[in-house]
Parts: sequence; structure tokens; C-alpha cells
Amino acid sequence: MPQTPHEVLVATIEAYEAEHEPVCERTVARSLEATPAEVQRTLERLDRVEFLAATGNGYRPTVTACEFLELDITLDDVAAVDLVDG
Amino acid sequence: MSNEDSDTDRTRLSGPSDERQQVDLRDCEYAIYRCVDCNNVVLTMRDCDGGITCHGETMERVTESTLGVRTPDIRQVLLDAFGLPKAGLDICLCVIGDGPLSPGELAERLDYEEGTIRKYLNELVEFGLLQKSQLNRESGGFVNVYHSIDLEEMREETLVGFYVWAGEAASLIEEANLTKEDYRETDAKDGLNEVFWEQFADERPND
Repeated sequence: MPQTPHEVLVATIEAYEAEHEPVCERTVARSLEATPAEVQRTLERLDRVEFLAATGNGYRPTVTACEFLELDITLDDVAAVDLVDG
Repeated sequence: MSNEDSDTDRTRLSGPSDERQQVDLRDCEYAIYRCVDCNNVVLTMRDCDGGITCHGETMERVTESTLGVRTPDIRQVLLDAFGLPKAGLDICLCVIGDGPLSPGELAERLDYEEGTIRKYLNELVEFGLLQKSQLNRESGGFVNVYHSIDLEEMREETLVGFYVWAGEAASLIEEANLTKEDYRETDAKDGLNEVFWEQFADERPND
């Protein structure tokens, strides 16, 4: 069954919190029983909306993603994410 | 043709519903009841155990209507009842499998201008179908997340909102019938030189 963007986000955050280092697509894919190619597109999208930040060897969650999880909603409920400059 | 052209295209939105048809009220998911004593008529979306009563008397289920009705079109209903145009509906119903999109990406997917998407995102927030949460952004600034309200809450809110609109519409019909009655009684002896409908429209404060 295809993983949802929310599952990918949660899996990435959990893996990052466990190891305190950037998470690669293979780690996320393994935890979701998916293929790296399947999760890669979602990871890139989450990077584009700044829920994840790409580093040289993987992704780390941003403050935005951590605040989002506190809202008690899922990414599947999100219609749009608008980045506003300070 | 881009979606930008469709906002005001009411004719196209009405689609195949122009033809009136009789509805078999015995086989609907809703039910209409009338009071056997007064003119009260109610609509319910659920079976009510024990039926519905009006001043203590069980109401009678209406099984047929002499008037034909046009088949409602969901987009036209949302436009008429809530002022929610097609663009708003497209945004609400757009499900993206790969994850959340920016307004610019959403505009590209749905074939609207980015400004139109931003405008309707905010209108949907004002309307109550979406909520806007503001989160911090690591590079400074903030992130606006537009997300749908709880589905159960949305179901009830939209139904109540529609009933309010339907009640307002029913009041207009009632008022028109009563005004016609008054007008006919008042002017009958002098002859009906005016078209009733024009006078009714002129007297309404919001028209």
C-alpha cells in the first residue's frame, strides 16, 4: 500500500530523533516497507515546502514540521502551504 | 479553456439540470413531512424514530410533488448557497498524492492564476471550509498552512448552512405568495394594472 506524505514525514522525524542525524530515503523506506524511489518524491516535496531540510547525507525535520505535528492534523488534510518571507 | 473562464459561467455550471423532472419522494435519502393541521412543511435527512410531530400531532410524509424540479448541480448549489465558486471547490477537492503544494504549484495543477488560488484560499478560510495555521520558518518569516476542518464538523456545518439558505429561500417564496394574495385583494376592485412580480421585487429592501 502506498505510504501517505504524513507517514513519510512522521517516519523521518522519528528516525531523526532516534539517531540525531539526517535521514536518508532508504531508512524512511525501510520503516514504511516501501521502496526508496517511492518515498524520494515525497521527501523532495516536503523539502520544497520547508517541512524537511536537505543536508549532504539526508533530511532533517525543520521547526515548521515539528510545529505542524503539534497541530494534531495530518498532511493529508493540507490544501496548500505558503512560504512567507520575514 | 483555462479554469479562469469558468467562475462566472453559470450557464455551463448548470449543465444538464435545465430540464425539470418529477422526483419520486418515496425513494429519496431525504424525507419531507407536512402537518395535517397547519401549513408547516419540514425536510429531514434522516429517518426519525416515531416520526416527526407538529404541535403534538404526527406529521404526514409527502410522497409526491406536483411541481417538477431541476436536478441540482453541486457546483451551482455551492455557488448559490455559499457564494463558493468553482475555483474554491477545486481547491477543496484537490487531493495531491505526493504531498502539500505551494499556491503556485496548486495554480499550475488546477490551471488557475496564482493570485486566484491565494484569493480563494483566504475566502475558504473566511467561509469556514479551511483553517489557516501560521507556523515559524527557520529562515525567518512564517509558513501559512491551509488545511481542511474536521470532516464530521464540515458535514454538519455545510448542512446547517445550506438549511439556513434554504430557509431564507423558502421565506422568499412564502413572502411572494402572501404578497400576491395581499396585492390581489387590495387592487382587485381597480383592476390589476401592474405586474405583481415587479412590485414585489421593488419592495424588497435588498434588491
